[in-house]
Amino acid sequence: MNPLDPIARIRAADRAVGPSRSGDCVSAGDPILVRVAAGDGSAVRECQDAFGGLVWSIARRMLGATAEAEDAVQEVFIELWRSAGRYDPGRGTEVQFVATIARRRIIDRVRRLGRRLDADPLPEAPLEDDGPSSADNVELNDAAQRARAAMAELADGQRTVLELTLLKGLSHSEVAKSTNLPLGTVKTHARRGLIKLRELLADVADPLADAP
Amino acid sequence: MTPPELDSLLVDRATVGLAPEEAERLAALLAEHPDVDVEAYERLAAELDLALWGREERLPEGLGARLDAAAEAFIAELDAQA
Repeated sequence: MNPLDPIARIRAADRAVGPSRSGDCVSAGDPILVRVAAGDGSAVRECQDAFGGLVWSIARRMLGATAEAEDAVQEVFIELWRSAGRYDPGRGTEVQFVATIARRRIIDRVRRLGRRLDADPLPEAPLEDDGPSSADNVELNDAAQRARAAMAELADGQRTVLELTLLKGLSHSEVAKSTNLPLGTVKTHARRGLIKLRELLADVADPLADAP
Repeated sequence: MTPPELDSLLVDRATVGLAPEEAERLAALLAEHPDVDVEAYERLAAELDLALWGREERLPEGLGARLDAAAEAFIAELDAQA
């Protein structure tokens, strides 16, 4: 492993966590990932019920309903179980932690494939969608409102590019092709848009403090 | 303040991933700026993903069984370590 490679460092940290029987005192009321990290086998089984639908939805959206997407979901869960010790309930919800790991793994896979598969189209009006339906509904609905308000403040080009990259996993080249924008413009929109969102959302809450 | 090139690479990693040469460049920049939060944009992207999409979908038939088998293998690994 290249010790300077940030991705390799993250992976190494995950491997270092590994499965463990820490002997920590945990109860059934503790977050699932905390119990997984403590070696609770029943919590490992619960992960699928709690997060399977979410991880599958991200994989299917970016990879299509394919064998690749199914492989990606399994890969995400194995990483979740192994890196559960990195989850800190004080810094964010389990759903946020799971989504971060899932996106990272799935984006890596999309990139390795070098092309997108048969992914589903975007919803017609993603900013007016009914919102999340996860176990963290209330929290996520608040987050959804904040995020939608922030997205609405972006320039049209920035918003379009971020919807296509963040939600669909399209590469910059694919966004350029689908929007007829020059590649350089797409990259600029993506970077400036996300930086702007970071600033906007930091004014309301600090999403950057929610760390997996 | 995060240098613009480093910021751009972190944004790219959070949204579209990095090519190997870009990952190497990112690693070099991070070595010069060890205090930068390398996952900040990934967490932001995940939060936006959840907020703007955030729906759950039923697992396809067969995938649930695969995950069950993977979970049992992981639990066996845990037990072997106990």
